[in-house]
Amino acid sequence: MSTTLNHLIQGIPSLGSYAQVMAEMETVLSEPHSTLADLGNVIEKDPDLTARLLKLGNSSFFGFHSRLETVAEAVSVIGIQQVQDLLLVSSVVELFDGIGADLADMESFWKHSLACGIGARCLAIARQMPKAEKFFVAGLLHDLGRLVLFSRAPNQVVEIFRLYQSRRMLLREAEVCILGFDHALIGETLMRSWQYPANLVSAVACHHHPMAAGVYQLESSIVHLADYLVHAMQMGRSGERFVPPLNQKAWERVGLATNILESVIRSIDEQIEIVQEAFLRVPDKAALGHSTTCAQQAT
Amino acid sequence: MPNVKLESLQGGMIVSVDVRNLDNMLLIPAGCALSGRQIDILNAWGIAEIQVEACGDSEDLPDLLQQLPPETLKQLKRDLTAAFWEPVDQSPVQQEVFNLVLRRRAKQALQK
Repeated sequence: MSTTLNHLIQGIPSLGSYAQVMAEMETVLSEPHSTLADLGNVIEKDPDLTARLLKLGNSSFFGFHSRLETVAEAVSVIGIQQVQDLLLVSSVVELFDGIGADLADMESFWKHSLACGIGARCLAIARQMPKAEKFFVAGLLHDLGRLVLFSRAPNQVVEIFRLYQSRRMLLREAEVCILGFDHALIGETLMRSWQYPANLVSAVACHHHPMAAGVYQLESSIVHLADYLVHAMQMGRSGERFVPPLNQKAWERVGLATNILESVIRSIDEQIEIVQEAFLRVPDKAALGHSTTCAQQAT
Repeated sequence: MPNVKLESLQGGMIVSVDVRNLDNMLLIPAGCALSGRQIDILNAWGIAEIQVEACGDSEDLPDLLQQLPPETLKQLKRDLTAAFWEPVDQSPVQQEVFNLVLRRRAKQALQK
């Protein structure tokens, strides 16, 4: 099993073409006399990144009142960590850019992932978690393992969906039947190889079984709840046709009142469009095609 | 617990989540009834919206659903129930999610 798992993730780089910008940012950040303007100069070398950063900074996602005009202003408002997260997420989107339209509707897949990121961030803010912004990344990457499957094991994906369509079962159960492991373990293994922080890795690894996350139960529970909500809203598709089971203990662990759910759903509806614009490249209509995907056939 | 934009805030609205500035300094605690002065403070800090207690928004669920033809409503409920892997009547949170999503779908159906 481990050979296959390692084979799946072998050689997947963590930052792709964004490695250069990230390295330059880290150099600037390590210099004691550097300013936000210096950081802005590094980011402005990438016009696409600059445009998306300003769009995000001026959106309802952050909800600031005054208009941001420069990258330095955007960094000061959004925060350096959030800019690095934007780079990280953009790099993951870029890494899995070439997945065939016959396997998955990637626009819909990313919509589900982004909505889960927004939901996880909202729940973390409501729970007054420190560094709530991190939950956006955790939610967004929760199905990272499926991206690996789509890009590295297309034949097995066809088998998985064939089995999945043949009976009433969850998609992750079909993954285990065919592969011996599920997408959560693939995502966990890849993120460990990328040396991501342990709380982020656990949130992805245990988003279906949050109480198994040890000291990171709370982080995993928040992503689990966000995933449940987004499935119920049918906001995009991860391939799963059902709203997966809710872990009641995870809800209790998060400890919020049920009336918070209305505002989380509203925030997802309000923010999804701008977040899609900020984090995803304009989809190549020709590449998207009109063929039916494995995931669509399953519904 | 809706997000309300600064320009729509009114004195007396109840803040439902602590309002903090970028340095995490508490500006207005949850549970506080907003004063005009506090709205000025939010403006000064550039905060565009805050969360306040719902003002009857949740109670419009039956009304909204009653606007739909009975057959459409029945079909919406049937489709939504079938989408869930497990029955939704096992806990209050599942029921709340089901009701919220049903209302969201009803709104979408009415807008068509």
